[in-house]
Amino acid sequence: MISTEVMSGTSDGEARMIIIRASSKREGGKLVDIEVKYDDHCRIVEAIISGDFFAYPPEAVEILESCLKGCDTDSCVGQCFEVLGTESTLLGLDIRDIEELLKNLFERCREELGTT
Amino acid sequence: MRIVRLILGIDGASACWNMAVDEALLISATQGRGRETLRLYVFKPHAVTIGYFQRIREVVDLEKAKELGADVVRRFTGGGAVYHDTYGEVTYSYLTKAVGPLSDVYRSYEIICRAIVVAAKKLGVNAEFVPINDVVVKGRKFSGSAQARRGCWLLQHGTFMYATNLETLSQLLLPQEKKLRQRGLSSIRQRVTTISDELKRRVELHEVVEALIKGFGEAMGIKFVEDELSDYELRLAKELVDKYRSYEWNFRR
Repeated sequence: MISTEVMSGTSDGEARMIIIRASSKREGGKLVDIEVKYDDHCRIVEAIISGDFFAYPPEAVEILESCLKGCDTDSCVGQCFEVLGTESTLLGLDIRDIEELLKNLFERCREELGTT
Repeated sequence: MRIVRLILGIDGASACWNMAVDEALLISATQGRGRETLRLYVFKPHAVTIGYFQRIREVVDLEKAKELGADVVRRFTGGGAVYHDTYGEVTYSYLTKAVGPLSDVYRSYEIICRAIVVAAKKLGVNAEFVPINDVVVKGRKFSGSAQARRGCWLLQHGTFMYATNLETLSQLLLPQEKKLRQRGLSSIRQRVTTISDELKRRVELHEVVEALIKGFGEAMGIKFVEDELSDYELRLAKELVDKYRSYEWNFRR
């Protein structure tokens, strides 16, 4: 499930932003919500991954969110998930689902901004 | 049989203090100053605790919580939002070394939740563990657990709803539509139960405490000696409690 919200540019001439929200839940798994804020080049400004899942250590998710900042390509997102995969255990979600979802959101962002 | 410390906090304490104590137990153990512990406690006033990764405004009706005087606090553990009814819920926290079968995160939930299943059985209810972290009766949840790990220690805490007001619960916790839809349910109320509802009689707090002590004793192969928090744990908890009171912590997502 994906929803989008386009934020207008501010009066002082700042570029417009776009926020895209998506969620993912597998049968028997936990609900994962993703909210990604992009700049007008579909570069990730902020990504928030939330839900009732478990991560050990929990800081792994914050490291991932931090790593995603500035990404504007699938490969950049992929590299961030590689870091997450080696050092952490996640329960209730398939991390590959989240990675794929984030990659798909680039396309959605470009559609919204009319840059595809 | 191992002798394990039992700490009872059934007179009730605030959500901030309860979370601070649980985190203090885990930190203290990690620093070599703790020991295997079962803590049973009650939230007073009523409270909602939310999972570490949840967004507070999306899972709790904050206006309703204010109206009802319920605390709302983010946990240091993952999982979902939980309603802690002062007069109908006991929370357990179990601190132990994450060794042997408990070193596996997924399996450790099942092993520790066996204590909840045994406790329910002691009260006359046939319950079952449902992965990842639930204990249910006939498909309805009355207990959910969450776990934190640091170093070679783990602390798992969880609910035991014996007479929770489920109407209040469904007013405070915002429904996660996607989860309910997947389960074919239209409301949170359809998804939960209490031990009292199942037994069709009012179960009392002392019965639940006794059942949980026996449940943990049998399931984990341990015996208990009642004790208190150490001075060091108390000091740590006093340092941590401000974090749980803070806007920065509770609204960080």
